[in-house]
Amino acid sequence: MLEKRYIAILILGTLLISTVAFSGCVDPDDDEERPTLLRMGFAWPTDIDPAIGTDKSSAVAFTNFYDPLVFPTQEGVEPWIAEDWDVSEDAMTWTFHLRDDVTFHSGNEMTAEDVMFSMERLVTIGEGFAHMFEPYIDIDESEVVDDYTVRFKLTEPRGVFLPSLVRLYIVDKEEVLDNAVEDADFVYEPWGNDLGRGYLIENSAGTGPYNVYEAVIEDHFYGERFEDYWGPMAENAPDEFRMLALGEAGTERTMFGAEELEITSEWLEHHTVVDIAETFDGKLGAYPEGGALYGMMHTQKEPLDCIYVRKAISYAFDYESQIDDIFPESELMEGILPILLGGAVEQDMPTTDHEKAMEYLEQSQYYPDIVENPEDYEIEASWTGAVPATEHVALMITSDLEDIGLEARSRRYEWGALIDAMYEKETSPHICIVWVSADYPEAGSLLNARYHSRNARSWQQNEWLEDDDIDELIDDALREPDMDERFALYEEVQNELFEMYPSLFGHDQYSKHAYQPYVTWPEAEDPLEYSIPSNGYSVNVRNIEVLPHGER
Amino acid sequence: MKKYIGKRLFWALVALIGLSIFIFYFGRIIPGDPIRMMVSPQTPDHVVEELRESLALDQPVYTQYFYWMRNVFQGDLGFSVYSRRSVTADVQQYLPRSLELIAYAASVQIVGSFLLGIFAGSNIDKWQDHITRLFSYIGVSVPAFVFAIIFQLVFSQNLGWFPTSGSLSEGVATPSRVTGFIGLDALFSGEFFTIGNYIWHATLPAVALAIPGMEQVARMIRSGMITINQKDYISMARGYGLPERTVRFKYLLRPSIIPGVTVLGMQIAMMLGNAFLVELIFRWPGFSRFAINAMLRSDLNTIVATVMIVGIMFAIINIVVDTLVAYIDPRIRYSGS
Repeated sequence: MLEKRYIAILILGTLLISTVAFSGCVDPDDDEERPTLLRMGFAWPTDIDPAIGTDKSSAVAFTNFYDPLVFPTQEGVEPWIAEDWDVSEDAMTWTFHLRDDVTFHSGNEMTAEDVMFSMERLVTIGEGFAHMFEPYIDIDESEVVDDYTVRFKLTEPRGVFLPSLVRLYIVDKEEVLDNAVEDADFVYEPWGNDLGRGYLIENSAGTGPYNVYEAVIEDHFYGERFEDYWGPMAENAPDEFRMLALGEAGTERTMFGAEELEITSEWLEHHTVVDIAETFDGKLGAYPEGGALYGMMHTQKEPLDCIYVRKAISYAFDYESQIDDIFPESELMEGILPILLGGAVEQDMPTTDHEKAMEYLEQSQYYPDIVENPEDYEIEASWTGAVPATEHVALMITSDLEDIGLEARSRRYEWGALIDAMYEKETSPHICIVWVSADYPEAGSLLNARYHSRNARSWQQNEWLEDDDIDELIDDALREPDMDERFALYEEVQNELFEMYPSLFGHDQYSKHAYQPYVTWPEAEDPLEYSIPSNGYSVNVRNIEVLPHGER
Repeated sequence: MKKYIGKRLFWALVALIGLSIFIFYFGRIIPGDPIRMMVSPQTPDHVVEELRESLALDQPVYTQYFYWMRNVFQGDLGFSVYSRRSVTADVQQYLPRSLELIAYAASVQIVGSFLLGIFAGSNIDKWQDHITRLFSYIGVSVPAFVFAIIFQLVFSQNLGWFPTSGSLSEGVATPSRVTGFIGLDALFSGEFFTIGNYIWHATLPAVALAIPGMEQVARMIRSGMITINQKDYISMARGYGLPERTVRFKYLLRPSIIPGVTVLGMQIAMMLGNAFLVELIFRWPGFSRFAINAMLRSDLNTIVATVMIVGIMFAIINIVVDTLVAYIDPRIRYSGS
């Protein structure tokens, strides 16, 4: 009896082990015709609903699953879904003439109704990039002129309305409304449903070069190439684009080595990315996206309310070491904004000069007390645990400040705590180290986000300038319809801001990645030629080539 | 026995209600405005306040608790500001994956700890005992995620015996959802290759998760065997000439495993919380990874749901363990009643 039991266990065990062993025998090299994949790591969460997300991974999803009305370039914008446009003299009426050969992933034809619905949906939900349109667009007066013409009316002149449209992604009205839910957490009037909010969490309803066919939130989005895509596509553009939730260095390294990952995620430390590329004969690439690292100085908090203290800090900071030791892929800032942004100008940026820093410090109203009793003026350099690399910058700042006799300490905040702290003037730290990126490829995007009072409470500002003249200058620039004149106004604002020394201008941010040798990625290989200074647009998978398996 | 279990169930319910009140209030004092973390930085204040109102986060905490409790009884765990959908949907998606991983890890842990414990306890101060002790020290002192990294480097990257990450290979389709448990769903649809492939993927994370607790329990079983082995009734059984096999398995092992079983239960219950890094390293789409990330984003409803799920798991396993121990040693049952 006992022996029979042992025999049964033995047979079962053998069967189980065989099943597991044979199930592992999937040899991918057997099939050279299998689809080419581009698997890339991303930080999560990734919102693929264009009315919800704004961060990098979401922006990459929009670039590949949807099409915007106009497409960003280094020079401004180019026709995309809109072939052409007219603007009234007062810059309050914008008429767009659309392509007539665009189809959605569903097979529906794209028309002006969809463009109008996309704008209406975005501003009704009010999240994501809605802030770029919501206060200025007059939905009631806007209209669909015919199948391929849409007219937007604004409530005030808005020159940057056109570049802002790089964030208006066109959704399939019919598909969205067919999948809208009436009994949902968020119900929008007058629609009486969730405007497809629940549906678009896991589905794409766009016209973009890739179509989501599998979604597991917090884990992955798989997109397959849209065969009826109207736009240009590289000859060897991958058959599938897969966005994977990653960020753990060891996992990415192992996956890269096993060719289960084509492009590493963005937030790995520099030495990790270099190591992965070198170990597995991969390529290293970096590209700017219109973002910069700022040490935002609280201009209303002692002792930073004195411009001479801010100037002293600006000259004490070790700009070169920041690049050499921490962010070798990035470039020193040439002005107060990332230089690739339209309308950004070169300025005579401060360089490390401790003698000059001391001279400025001596002109401060707090001198000599600030060096005799530095503990009374302790400066807090804050960073967030969400981006560990910023700790190095915080430590560098504290060390540099101590070199000129100031007391400073580095302080870590969890991301939520930092957002809370920066929401109030009283609780905002002295210096906060954060990267900020432009939403559209013009200086106005960052000037508005970084220095206009309307955004003073957001985490993109810690300066608390609250300066009416600066606000007015920025508003004038954003209103100006003529691009040359707008850029001239941007220059004026930048010069005014530069003289105020409100921030430490760290570096133009370059996103860095290791990627496989069988991948060709123009934006990463020649960033000055191909990269697009607008968050998410440089991971444009239809431009990336992945060699077929048989040719590697 | 029924009275014993009933009493345990009653106190588990009281503990869970207390836990829900505690975590509901505690979650709301963690820094980080969940709505501001959910939206883009330039979102106007009126939109933020509308969202806050929609989710009843503008209400007093006791009112929010009342709404939450009412919704829980309707199967609704609230809205997640992290995943932007119902927490119930998140739990349905991620929890089965973690439970499957934990079930696998628990099986490895139970079998491994008993074998190692008995092996060491039967060979006191011999080389077998010393080797087991060495493994135990390593197992207890090294956390699961270190094993995960080592296993991934050795068995995946260098030897290529196991997949590096994920839960199914390229080209192996996820079976149609019936229960959400991949193994069960594959079984229902007769996809045995998928089951094998799934187990193959789960092996390294499961073993990494099992090892630390396994070594601890093995040590307890060994110690129990040494203590019980010195009891008079064991000497008497041997004196009566009972076969050594009967003495060892009937009189020695049974009381020796009681402390081990209790600790084993706790180890298994704790796996859900401890699985975070292992799930992260192996890209296992489980609940722990999701829950920790959601917590870091001040996702209040997910925080409450996560803690309650872990609490319920603890309660269930506690009751199972208590019942098992009471079954093994009836004296505990009678004194407990």
